[in-house]
Amino acid sequence: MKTKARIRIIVLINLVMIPFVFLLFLSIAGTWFFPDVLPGHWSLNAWHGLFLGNDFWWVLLKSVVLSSSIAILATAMAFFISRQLSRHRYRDILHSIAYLPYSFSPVIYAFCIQFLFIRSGLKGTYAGVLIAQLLISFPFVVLLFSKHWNHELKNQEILSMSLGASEYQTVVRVTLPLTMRLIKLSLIQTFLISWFDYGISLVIGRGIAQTAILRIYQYIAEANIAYAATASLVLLIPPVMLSIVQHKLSSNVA
Amino acid sequence: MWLEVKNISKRFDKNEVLKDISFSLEQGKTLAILGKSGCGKTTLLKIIAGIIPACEGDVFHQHKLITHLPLNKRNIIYLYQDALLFPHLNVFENIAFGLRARKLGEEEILQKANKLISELGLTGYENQNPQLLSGGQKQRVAFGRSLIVNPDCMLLDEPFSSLDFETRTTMQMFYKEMAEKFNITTVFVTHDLKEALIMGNHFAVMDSGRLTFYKDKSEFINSPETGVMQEKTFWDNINADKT
Repeated sequence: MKTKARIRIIVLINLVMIPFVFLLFLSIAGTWFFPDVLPGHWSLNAWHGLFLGNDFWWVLLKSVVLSSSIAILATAMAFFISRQLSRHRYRDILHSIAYLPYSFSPVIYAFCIQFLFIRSGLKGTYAGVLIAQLLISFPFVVLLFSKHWNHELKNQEILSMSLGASEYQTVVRVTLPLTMRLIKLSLIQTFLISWFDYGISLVIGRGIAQTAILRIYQYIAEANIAYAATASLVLLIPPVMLSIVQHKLSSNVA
Repeated sequence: MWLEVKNISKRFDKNEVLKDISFSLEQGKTLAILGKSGCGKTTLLKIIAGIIPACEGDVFHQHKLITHLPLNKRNIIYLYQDALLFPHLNVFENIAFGLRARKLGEEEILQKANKLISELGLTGYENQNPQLLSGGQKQRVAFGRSLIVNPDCMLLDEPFSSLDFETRTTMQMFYKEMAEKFNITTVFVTHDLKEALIMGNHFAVMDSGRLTFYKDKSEFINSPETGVMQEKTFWDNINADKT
């Protein structure tokens, strides 16, 4: 029984890991022609080319800044606004409206709103991509926070003020610490939404405001498989790191 | 008068919850308000504390109008049925919360909080997570957290209702002792007749948003509205059955 379980785990790990191993394999495969089983030679050219002779680092840095900005802005806005919404008499209707951006696929949603971005001169700019991604991330965080603002937390805030704390002190000393776990989760989730977004970045960014994921699609379109594989592996680093952090957070809560 | 409530009325939509409530209370006294669930007791306390506004009427402290003052400027503390300790702070920090909000010096905070912790019988629990305390200990911390800021008035909304019988009796005695020691003026609402009699110096009954004030304990006991005589008859009959 133990051996069977062990085999199952090994098979499962392999199934999960195969795409990543294959990406690594593609990134160092030099020349490789059909019907050869293995490449003719191994090469680190794609790694060298991507980081030394290419602006990929620069695009990657811009993507990190963009996704981090989305994470911080969406979380900060949702922290205050969702708190107000959850105590509004029409909160159920308002929360239903927050689901609307998810009625479409992101590409269709981007096509629907692109007129506004053309008129405002934001199409093809990073500011435009940031605003468009916020329109997706912000309602997500509002919904994520919605159940958090319960009666107990409200009563704790009232009690804090009854003990003489100002509204600012109450937010800093009571509300924020009691919401910290959710804030961390929101930062991670919104970062990932922005990091892997393709549709909105493509339509609103128009290829001018480049993100790392758009660059990977560009390499694929150019049939530059080694570059695409290498860039994909690099693109995985932030999400893997965030997944580890998220896992640790969940373990602490459990 | 230390605390005066004049002609308070409250409506939620068309539902009139409080109807022209007035009473006054001297310093260091406890008014026990007896009433069934949903009679408006909690609404009255929340209006006095400044948590919700009244539709009509005013609240005075030492003849000074405080109706317009926000919750954090009234120095009147409303205590919930649950202890509602801040789970991210240890026992010491929970008790010192009000002092930190008033930006007192670290030394003064240490001295005052430690003194009160000792008086509350919580020495050794300073660094304890409040979630690990028993029901009675949690209530002690909740009282300590309020008493440390020397409030002008405490409003207690059935604070012992979630405790078992034994702890409840201990906490009733404990609060009475503390209220006397710190000369605390208290409005105590409960649906428990015995608790009202134990806790109060003054007595009132609330029914359907109206408050009936009794001039002394014997009037409260003899009034048919309070149910004290019915209760007494019940126990007398039980005794008679036994004999």
